[in-house]
Amino acid sequence: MLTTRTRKRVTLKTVSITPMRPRPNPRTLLACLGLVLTQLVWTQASISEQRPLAGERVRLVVGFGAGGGYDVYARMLAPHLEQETGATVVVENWTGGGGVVALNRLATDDTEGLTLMLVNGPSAVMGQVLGNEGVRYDVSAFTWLGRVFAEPSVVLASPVSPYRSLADLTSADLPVRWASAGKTTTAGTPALVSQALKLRSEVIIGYKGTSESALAALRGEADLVAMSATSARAQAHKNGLVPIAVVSHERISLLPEVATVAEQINLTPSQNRWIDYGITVMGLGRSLATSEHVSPERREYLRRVVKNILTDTTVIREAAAQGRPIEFGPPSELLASINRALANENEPTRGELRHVILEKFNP
Amino acid sequence: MFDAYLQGVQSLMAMDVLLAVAAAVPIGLVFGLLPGLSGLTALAVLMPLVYGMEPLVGLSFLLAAHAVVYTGGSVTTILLGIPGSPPNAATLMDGRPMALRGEAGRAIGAALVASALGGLVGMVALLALLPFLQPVIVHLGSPEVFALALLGISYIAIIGHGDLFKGLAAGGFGIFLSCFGYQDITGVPRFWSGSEYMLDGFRLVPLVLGLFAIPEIVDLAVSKRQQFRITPDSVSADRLRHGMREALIHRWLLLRAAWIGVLVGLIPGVGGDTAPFVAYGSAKQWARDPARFGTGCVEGVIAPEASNNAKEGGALVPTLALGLPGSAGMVILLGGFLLLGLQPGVGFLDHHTNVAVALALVLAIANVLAVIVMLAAVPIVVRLLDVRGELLAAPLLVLVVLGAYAVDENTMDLLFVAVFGFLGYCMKSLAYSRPALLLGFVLGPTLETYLHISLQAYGASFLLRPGVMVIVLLIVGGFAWPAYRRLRLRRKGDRDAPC
Repeated sequence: MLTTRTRKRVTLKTVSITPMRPRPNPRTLLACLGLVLTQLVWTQASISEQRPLAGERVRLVVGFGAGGGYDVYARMLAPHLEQETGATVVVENWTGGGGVVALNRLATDDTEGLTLMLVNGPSAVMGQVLGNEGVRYDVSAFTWLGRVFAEPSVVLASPVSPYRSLADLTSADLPVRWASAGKTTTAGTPALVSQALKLRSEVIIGYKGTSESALAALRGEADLVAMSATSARAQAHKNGLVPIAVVSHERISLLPEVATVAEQINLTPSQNRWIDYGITVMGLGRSLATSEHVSPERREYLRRVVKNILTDTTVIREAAAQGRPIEFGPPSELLASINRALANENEPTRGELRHVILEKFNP
Repeated sequence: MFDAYLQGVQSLMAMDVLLAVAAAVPIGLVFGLLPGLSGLTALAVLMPLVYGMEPLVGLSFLLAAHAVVYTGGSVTTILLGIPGSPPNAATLMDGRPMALRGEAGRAIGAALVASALGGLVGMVALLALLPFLQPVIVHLGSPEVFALALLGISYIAIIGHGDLFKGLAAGGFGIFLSCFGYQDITGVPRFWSGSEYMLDGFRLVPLVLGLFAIPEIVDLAVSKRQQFRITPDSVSADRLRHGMREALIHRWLLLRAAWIGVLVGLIPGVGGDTAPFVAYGSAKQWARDPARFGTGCVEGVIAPEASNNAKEGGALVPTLALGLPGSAGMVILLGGFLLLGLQPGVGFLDHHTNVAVALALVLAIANVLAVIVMLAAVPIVVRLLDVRGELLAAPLLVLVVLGAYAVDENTMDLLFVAVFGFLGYCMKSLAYSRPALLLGFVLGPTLETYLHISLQAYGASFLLRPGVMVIVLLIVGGFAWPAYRRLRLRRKGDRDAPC
């Protein structure tokens, strides 16, 4: 009896439960699946839209050898680029021609922003303006992403020379001798300053880099040397070279006691344009660029990424601790400077620049 | 000052510093053993590893690896006839003939001890010069660099074994090859033919590998002669000991060569690759029997190897004292200093004499440790090489290709390895001196640039500077003394001859 009841109950229970569970409707299931898939695709698309380089391999190129200043900067920035983009960032050294080979290759690159380059701005622009052999790029066509760091040049005098100010140079009886690695090193500061101040100068070329030029001044082999502000400060403190002028519109925090050219000499507009030109070119500093063959969306994305990294206080602090300062400059500013340096409106013409930098002070 | 020296010794005794040196030495030796890879490559590769280390630990690691590369390179040079790194090419002239004569162990023993003692001389020079660093460097200017380059180039005639004309022709051709690419004093490229690769001219590593490695590999591949095999017996402990004793017997030659290395390293601009050639040339010039050089005499191994390792001590002097790198490797090491928060320069020694002393001692320890490691490793290396020549050729070619490609990752370098390989094979067959070509190639630009700078800065009066006059006297004396001695011997012979 009990068994029969139980059976009945069970049967009843079964009967009563079945209608409560809706039968899986294939249409509903399909709709749900579609919804989930759409959601997944939408989320994925949204992530891709936010980080379009995620999973890609990005090259960060430097035009100089491993271990040098540009290489170290690039290797410092690479992990931050990886973190920001989700891409694998590889630093590559495309050496040759003092950076010309790398710039030529960047100009023809069509990897849609997967090749970035840390460019020596002054050298790249001067190479084009002076029509150096081997130059096949156009700096104004590159997609500029931002300036990492720039600093003005400083004129230093040999401790054994009689010169301690620009006035001493302009009143010198003998020609003043500059030591330099190349004619366009530190954006041709020796020639530009000599031309602006109407100095009787001789620029001795051939030293292996700024350090050896500084040594030449230290020995008295040359009277003057020009170098970036950071190097100038180090040489002044380490080796006793005497900073006599900053080629800048205003004094700099690294050498606050050193007056600018304009503070020391009253320049006419025609003299001043040479100094202005030097300031503009040096202002290009170490900048990040990619090829011109990049879509507007990718360009804006890369610019956002670069700005995020170079304005991040943690990154700036970390870089400063390594002796590699960061001072972000927006692409618009860079482009304006490049166009000023190339177009030569109210600036020295290319012909004048070639004559002054390549010939006039190089006996 | 004495306290600072004592502190330097104490800081070196820290366990982490010693461990860094112990780890770096085998790495540096491997870079040396592999053809084409130089100390420069070692530093560039190892640099990122030191970030975050204690300054002395990181610098010891880099310096130890860099300092022993040439020690490893000497073994490859002697056993295979392929320079482990470009400066080892000078060791080739006598090291390889010794190995082919079955005296590889003797040559390696002598090379290792010469390297170690050369490194010790470098350390002594660095420690001794620490108090006088700045005036020493400042008094050696561009005219002295030019004069030293002239001294080096004068040895073209000496290292060109045998035929003087062939030596000069090879050296002249080397200078011609160095004229390709950017000229330092104008910034204008020469003979570049519109090729981007040629903007920088011919590269050193492809030239060295092509000239020296390819002819050896071709010989190995086509010849089944037993003479190319290095048997374990030829590097037995007895033979190694014999070579080591010989380096000590020729201690004055070793010391002279080491000081040449220190001097070349000391002057920024000369370029460290010159030192072993100048040391070899000097050893041959002042030898009682110069004709033995080039045929496999142990003095021809001792001189370049001692100068190779000693020059690093010399190159550290301007790096520490003025923040001016004395060699290409020191440029990267200087970057290491900055990365680790130290700024070499005049003030550096006032506050960090202990670091300078510790680094000098690192040089010494690394050089001695390298000899111990290599003595243990040589039998293993020889066993690896104890196969038929044609079987060895293929892996060697792979190593050469990798070595050439690793420097700049440029496939054009491989093409030029082949081109210079053909040139090297022809030169070897026709008995033209390949080291003379290399010396001309290395010194050509230095000679041109520093003559130009000297003339611009001082006019022709640069020739009257004391340093220049001393070096010019050395050049003249170097040629006049052997000639005078030969003349005296001939006269004596004439007098002693029976009537």
